[in-house]
Amino acid sequence: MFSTFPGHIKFTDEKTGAGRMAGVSFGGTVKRICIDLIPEAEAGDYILSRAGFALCVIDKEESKRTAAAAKEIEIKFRTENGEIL
Amino acid sequence: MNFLHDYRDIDRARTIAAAAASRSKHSWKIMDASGSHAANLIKFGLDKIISERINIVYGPGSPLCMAPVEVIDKAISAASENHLTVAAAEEMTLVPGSRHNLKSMKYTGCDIETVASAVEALQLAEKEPQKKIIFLNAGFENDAAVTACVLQIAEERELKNFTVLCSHLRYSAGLSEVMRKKRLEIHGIIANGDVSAVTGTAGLKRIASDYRIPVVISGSEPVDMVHAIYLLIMQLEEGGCDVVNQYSRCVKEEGNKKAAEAIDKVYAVTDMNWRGIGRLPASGYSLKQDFGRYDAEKVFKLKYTLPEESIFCIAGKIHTGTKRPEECTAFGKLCTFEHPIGAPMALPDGACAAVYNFLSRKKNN
Repeated sequence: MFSTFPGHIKFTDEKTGAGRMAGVSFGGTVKRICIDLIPEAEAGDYILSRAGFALCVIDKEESKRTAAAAKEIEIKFRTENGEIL
Repeated sequence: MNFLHDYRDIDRARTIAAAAASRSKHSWKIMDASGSHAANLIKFGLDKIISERINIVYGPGSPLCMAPVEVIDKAISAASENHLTVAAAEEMTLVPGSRHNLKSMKYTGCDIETVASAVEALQLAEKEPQKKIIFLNAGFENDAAVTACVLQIAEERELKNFTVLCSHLRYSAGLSEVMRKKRLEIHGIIANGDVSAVTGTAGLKRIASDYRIPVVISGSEPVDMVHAIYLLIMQLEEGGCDVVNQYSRCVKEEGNKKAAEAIDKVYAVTDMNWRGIGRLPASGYSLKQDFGRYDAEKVFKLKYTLPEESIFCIAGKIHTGTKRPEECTAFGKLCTFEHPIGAPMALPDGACAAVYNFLSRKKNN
């Protein structure tokens, strides 16, 4: 079993067919990741990578929505407890 | 990645954990079937904040802790008796077989290669054509999709010295069987988001509807984990039993169709042993006949004796939420992180290792 990491696609190979690769940055270190499972991926996308394969494109808008919802819970709770007035 | 900062804010995670605890008006027993999340909650001290009214028990969510003993025994047999090269992830080499793990076999001279990715295993086969490489992989659908892809690449590149030994499990089908077979008394489930990114939400919807319990699909960052618990508590307090997708940035309702196609092309559904739990119907995958030439077990006729799980390890009870690691008689005595006897202690993200390491740190402070 391998771990799952989010990464940022910097470039994709022109080659088509099995084993198409992309250069993906993980905190600044660029590694070659196979994008056979997400052929629609392109440079600029964020992806979830496992064992050298990209499993999905991370939806940036959904990410912002979820982060905002979590922040709202935090603010509401802090306000209820008198931390934020 | 900038947007991840929001999900790694530990102060925010602590506040949301406290909010979850305060919203919980009843005592709830929830199952963490998300793999390493419970271990991460312990690591960040979040479990203590939410533990007053919310009892988090471990579920069968850690792919390596569920890997059957026999797949490790077969890999050891391949390396020690057939003198083949076994390529596997570092963590995979720590998983106990009946008597040894792959890491200990490496020290006896067996050719065990640790690889950082499945692609590296393929490259190893291309670089060293004189070696016969067996890629060992386990896990749920997200790992099954990777193995399926690797096989399709090996087929296109006509690699003759590459085979796989895999024991892939079907997450929702297995979880549902565990619920049924063990008659688990739990109120809600935190589900594995990385697996759901491949499978989608249909299997979990069946569990929510069959057992009338809420399920929240969670990401693996600290804020994700407590946010998922918060959403589960809100559902429990309101009497809901739906599937809520906290990890919508990665999980779509339909999952990854390309991955599902790869899985369908390469595997047939089969009964599978889940470590400590037993054989569950239609809970795993075996390679289809079309891919028989890549099936290491068949190609090399791997021999192994009847697999034995340690009589001291209660992993099955821990992964069905009926016992906690501290309740195991071997915990911290016969079984330690330095000398583990069971998979949940051997793996850094395992339930026993997380509790053991937390207690050790506490003792040392």
